[in-house]
Amino acid sequence: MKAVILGDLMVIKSQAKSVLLVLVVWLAITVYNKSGLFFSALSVVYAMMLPLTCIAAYEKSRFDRYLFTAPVSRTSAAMGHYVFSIICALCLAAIGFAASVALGMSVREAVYSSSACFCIGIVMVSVLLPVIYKFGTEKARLTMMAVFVLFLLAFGLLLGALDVDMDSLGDALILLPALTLIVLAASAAVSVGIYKRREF
Amino acid sequence: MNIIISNAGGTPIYEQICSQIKGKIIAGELAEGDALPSMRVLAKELRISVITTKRAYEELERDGFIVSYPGKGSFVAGKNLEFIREEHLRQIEELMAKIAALAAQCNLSYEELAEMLRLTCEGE
Amino acid sequence: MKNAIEVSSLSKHYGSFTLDQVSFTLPSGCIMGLIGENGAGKSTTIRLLLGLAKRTGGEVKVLGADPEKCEPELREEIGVVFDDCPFPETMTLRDVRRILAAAYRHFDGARFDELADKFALPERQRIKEYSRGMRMKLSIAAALSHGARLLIIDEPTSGLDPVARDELLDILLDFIQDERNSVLISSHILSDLEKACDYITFIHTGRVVFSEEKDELLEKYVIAKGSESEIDALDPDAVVGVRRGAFGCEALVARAAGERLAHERASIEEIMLYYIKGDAK
Repeated sequence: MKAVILGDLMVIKSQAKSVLLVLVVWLAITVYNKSGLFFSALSVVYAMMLPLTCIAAYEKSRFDRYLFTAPVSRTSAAMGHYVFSIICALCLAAIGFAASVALGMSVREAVYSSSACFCIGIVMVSVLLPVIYKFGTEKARLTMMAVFVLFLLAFGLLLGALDVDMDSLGDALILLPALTLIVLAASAAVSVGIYKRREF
Repeated sequence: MNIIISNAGGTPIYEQICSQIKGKIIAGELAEGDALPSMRVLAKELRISVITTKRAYEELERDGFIVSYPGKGSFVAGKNLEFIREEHLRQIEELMAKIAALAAQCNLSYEELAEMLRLTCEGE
Repeated sequence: MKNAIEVSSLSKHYGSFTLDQVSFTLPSGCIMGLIGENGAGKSTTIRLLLGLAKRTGGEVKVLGADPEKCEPELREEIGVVFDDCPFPETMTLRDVRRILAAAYRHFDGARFDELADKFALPERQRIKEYSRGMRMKLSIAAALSHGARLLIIDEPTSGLDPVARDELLDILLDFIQDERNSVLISSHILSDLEKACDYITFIHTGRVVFSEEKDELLEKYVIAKGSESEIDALDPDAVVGVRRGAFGCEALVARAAGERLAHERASIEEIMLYYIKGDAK
């Protein structure tokens, strides 16, 4: 697993400049909007983009096929990208949290909003990764767009229908971590299954 | 020790190795007890298959020229080389008798025969 | 271990192609050339040997274990070189070293550096900027630096100039000095690498045409040359294939039968060609 995570980190490192640029621009917009939530929300999307970028790089040079000839079990190869995604989502959530607090949000609210976005990010990745594993990154990009649009619609509709503020939403979202864990576990199981059956 | 193999001729490579090593042993270039290069090292240096060198060494051992000890290597055998030389001389004499008979049949003089022999030897 | 690879009646069924009852054995300490045209089934065979695909029939043992069922640890001892460099383009030599260290427990950094040095691979350049030959050399360096006992190389000659091929030949012969090591080279043209091969397995349209010692193979056949009538007079059972020309004919034929006519040694490539085209007798 270490090899996969390391590989992912290296791919991202090579794109460090554009990643940092994106983050800086977002932070700037976040500050301009005085809303830490903005960053947290957009980081959900980026949490999906990063593993996608890595796996696409692997596909291009057939690094994934090579790893299967190395002493890396199919299970740990599948899980490597998950771990990497979680690390990315955590970092982004941390930045979002810091930004929110710095911009005046209460710590409690900031914790709720950034952890909620973290969880949602993980859910998105959990939906995305099995699709990538099964169909490859090209087809998965479309899925990613679709999932994100649906998510926005659902979230927007939900907020509109309930018309609540952040605090009580935070309380209601206590369920989110549990839900996230379930989705993550299910996704991981599916992914491992896909990798075990995968042929090159 | 030099072993020169040729890919061009019809002689199989293992035979070439065999006869060259035999020749060196008979000529005294390789003395009894001398270590031969291992099959693998020889294969690497000559850039040929290990199976070829193995076959050459097996034949040399069969003919009593060398002895191979697994794990240790191959060494020139303590066979009585004089005996081998005499054996070869005897064979040459036999063949010469046959040549002489054939030459007589086509009225070949000794000088012409010697000339043919000279050309043959120089051709090698 | 007696045999590095044991393949018995291996079959794989794809939609348009079938690998049919392929059998061969690679004894330890030897180099085997797996030859055949493009699309003959060589790559499929290699994929099955590496557990990258699942076979539909037959048995496979690589270093004594079934690649589909073995523990990942067994792959520490298998070095693989594909025809393209598998490391992401954005990586550098240093990155590759770190990845290999993470993937293989017995990774030997010193050996990797030694080989990278020998191949003159630049330390800080991205793989994106490597030439074809350099990428190949990187793959080879990677495969040889984690204690592999079996080297499986797919199409090594593509992308390598004659000098590099010569270096590869040296490396393989060196590798084989330890008789626990074995090599399987798969190629549509072995060229100079055929010198070092101990065994040759020829795959054609999914089947093994022959799998034998290279020396025996080369001694078995000659290319006989003569007039059409002379060639046609040869025992048909001894003839593999005939090439008819405007000024005479050539045939790949068993040595005993062909020595009567003007003849010369057959190279492995020629043997392969005659087998493939031989049906047009």
